[in-house]
Amino acid sequence: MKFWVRRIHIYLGLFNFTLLCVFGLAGLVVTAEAPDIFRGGSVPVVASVPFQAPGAASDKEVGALIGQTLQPRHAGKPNVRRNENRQLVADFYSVNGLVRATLLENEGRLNVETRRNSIWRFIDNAHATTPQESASSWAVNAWAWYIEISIWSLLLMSLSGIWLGLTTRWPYWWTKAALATGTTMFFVFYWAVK
Amino acid sequence: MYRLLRNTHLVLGLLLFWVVLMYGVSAAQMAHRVRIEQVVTERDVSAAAGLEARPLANLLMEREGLGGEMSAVTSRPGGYRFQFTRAGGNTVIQYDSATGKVHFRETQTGMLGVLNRLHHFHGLHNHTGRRNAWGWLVLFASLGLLALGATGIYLWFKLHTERVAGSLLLAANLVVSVALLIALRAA
Repeated sequence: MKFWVRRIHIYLGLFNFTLLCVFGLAGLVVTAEAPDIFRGGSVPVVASVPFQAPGAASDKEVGALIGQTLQPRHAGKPNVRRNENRQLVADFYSVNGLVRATLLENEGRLNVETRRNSIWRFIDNAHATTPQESASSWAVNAWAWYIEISIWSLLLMSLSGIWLGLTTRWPYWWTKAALATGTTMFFVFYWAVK
Repeated sequence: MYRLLRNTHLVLGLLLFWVVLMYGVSAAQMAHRVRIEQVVTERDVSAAAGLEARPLANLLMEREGLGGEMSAVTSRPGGYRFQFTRAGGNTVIQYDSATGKVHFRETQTGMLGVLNRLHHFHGLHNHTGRRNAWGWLVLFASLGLLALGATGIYLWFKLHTERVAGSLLLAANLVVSVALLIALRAA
C-alpha cells in the first residue's frame, strides 16, 4: 500500500510540477497586487477596422460578428454593452488581456483597443483557465484540461501526502506539531474570516 | 541535506494540508460551476436618524454583532446603502436617514461558498486585520507550494529506482506545459 501511495504521490507531483509552480506564482502575483491591464501603465494599441453592422442584428449578434471579424486570439465570447455615448462595446477577455472593440456605426468602422497584460497577470489568468472557458482556441482548451487534471492531482497529492506523512513519520514530535499547527492555523483563519 | 529537505517537504505539506485542500476543493467547485446554495434573511431594526455610514456601521457591528469588510457605500433616495462582506456571505444595509430605519438583507452561502470566497481573498492591504492575516497565509501558502515543488523534485531525484519513469513524466510535463504557455502568450 505504502509503495503505491508513494509512487502515486511522486508521479502526480512530477506530471504537475509546472502547474504547481503556476499556482504558487499566481498566489504571489495577487499578494503583490501586480498591476492589471488598466493600471499597468502600458499604452493600449489602437486600430481602426472597417465594419458594417447588419440592420436587423441585435447587439449580441453584432458582438458575435465583431468577434468573427477581429478573431482576437484565445478570447471567448464577448461581453457586449453600451457605453456612455450609447455606442456598442464588445470586450474580448483572454489570458493575455483585453481587446475592446467600440462600434462607430455612423462611420462604418470599429475602434479596436488592445491592452496586453504583464507576464505576471498572464500567469494569474493562466491559473484560472478551466474547461468552462468559451474560447475556441486549441491552446486554451488544452491548457484548461491540463489545469483540470492538476486540480484533481493537487487534491490527490495532498491526501496521499498526508497519508504518507502520518503513516511513516507519526512517531516524530514535529510531525504531530506541524499537523496540529497547520490545522489550528487554517481553522482559526477560517472562523475569523467567515 | 537529504534529511533536511525531506523534513522540510513533510513539515510544509502538513502545515499547508488544509489550505491546499481548500484551494483544490474550491477550484473544482469553480471549474465545474457547482451551485452554491444561498440562504437569504431580511429584517428591520431602528437606529438614530441622520447618521453617516461609518458611525452606523460601527453601531451595527457593536449592537447587532455584524462582521466583515464594509464596502460599496452608495446614496439612494432618502438615505444610503452599504454592505458587510465576509467569506460566508454578505449583509446589505439600507438606511433611511429621516426615520433611522435600518433594513438588513443577509445572505449566507454555506461551506462551499466560504471556500470559494477564501480562494479569492488575498493581499496585505485590506480594510480589516483578519483579511490581511489571511493575505499573509496566502503568501505563505504560495511560497510553500513553490518550496514543496522544488523539494519534491530533489527528493524524487535521490530515489534512484524512480528516475526513468519520473524523468519521462517530468519531461512530458515540461514539454507540454511550456509549449502551451508559449502558445497562449503568443500574440
